[in-house]
Amino acid sequence: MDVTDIQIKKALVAFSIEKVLFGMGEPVYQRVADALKNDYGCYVPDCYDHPEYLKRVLADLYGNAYATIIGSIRENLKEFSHQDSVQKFLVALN
Amino acid sequence: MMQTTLQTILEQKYLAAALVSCGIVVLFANALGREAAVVAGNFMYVPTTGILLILATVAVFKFGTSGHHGIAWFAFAGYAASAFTAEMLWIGQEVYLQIDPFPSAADVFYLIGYPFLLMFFIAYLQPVKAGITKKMLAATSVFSLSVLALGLYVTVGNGTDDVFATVVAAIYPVFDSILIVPALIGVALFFKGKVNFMWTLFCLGTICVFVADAAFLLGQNEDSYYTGNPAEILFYWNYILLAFGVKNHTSLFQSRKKRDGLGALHA
Repeated sequence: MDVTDIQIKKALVAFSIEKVLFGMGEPVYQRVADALKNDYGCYVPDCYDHPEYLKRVLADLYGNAYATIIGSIRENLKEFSHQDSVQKFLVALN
Repeated sequence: MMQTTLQTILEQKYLAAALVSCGIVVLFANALGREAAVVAGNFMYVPTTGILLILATVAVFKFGTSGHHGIAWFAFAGYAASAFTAEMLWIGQEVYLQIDPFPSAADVFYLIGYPFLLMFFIAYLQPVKAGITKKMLAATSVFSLSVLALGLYVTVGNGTDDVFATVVAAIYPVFDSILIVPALIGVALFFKGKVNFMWTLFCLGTICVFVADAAFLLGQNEDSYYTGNPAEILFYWNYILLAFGVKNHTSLFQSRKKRDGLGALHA
């Protein structure tokens, strides 16, 4: 199986999102994954291309506190932020 | 299943019906006389705390013990179990043994419930603690201290000669005022979010308990309090509000067919 750079970055972003959401509880991750699938027809790794979907789902669920959750995801990706595509994702999350 | 607006409205309708019917039962029992009020008032705690305990247990099974939410719901179940035990002890003492249940072993369980509820609030807020601003903390603390001052004025200020009863009485407003801080912070933090419904109900429940505790302690000091009196409606409302909050939250995170989010990578 060919593993492209994009797929690696998608996995990295998905892992960061999962880490934060699983830290809150497995049902939280499942709820977000379900909302992404039902509302936007995408999976967690697709948030790499559409960070706005993740923002909307988290804001819908956690209201004002979504920014703090996004902040935790950003923190997890901090060491990869020098890479342009990851940086682009982080900027879009703002 | 996705939480729709219709479901939320329907849930609120049931909540309103539960609150109103509980109030009607207590007022009707009071209209029949004090004995009827005591019996109805005591047994009203069986369904209210019982349902809360069942729902809290369901939440524990749903969230497990992993993650901050898991820890939070485990603590909440501890609170629900303490409240249920306390109410059953109260009923046992007042209805069967026919002794004054305040202060008694029931108070131990009421008081044990407070740290559990505080633990629930802290664990739930832990992942979003960075969002708690100094302004938010200051505003809620000022409100909490005002509540505490009022509570202590009502209890200690009008205390009886029984020092032990007065000390026990004073602990309740202190604990109530502590709980109000994270409850209000939660409402502010989760404002506009779906979990805010539960936080609003929990916050209203906490306020109900504070007012009811003040009324209870004031009544005890004047020796005019009896279980099932109209002020006690607020205690029942607290349990009802908490139960609907738990129900709403559990429904919000209802388990659906598990989907592997990473599946897209292999597509």
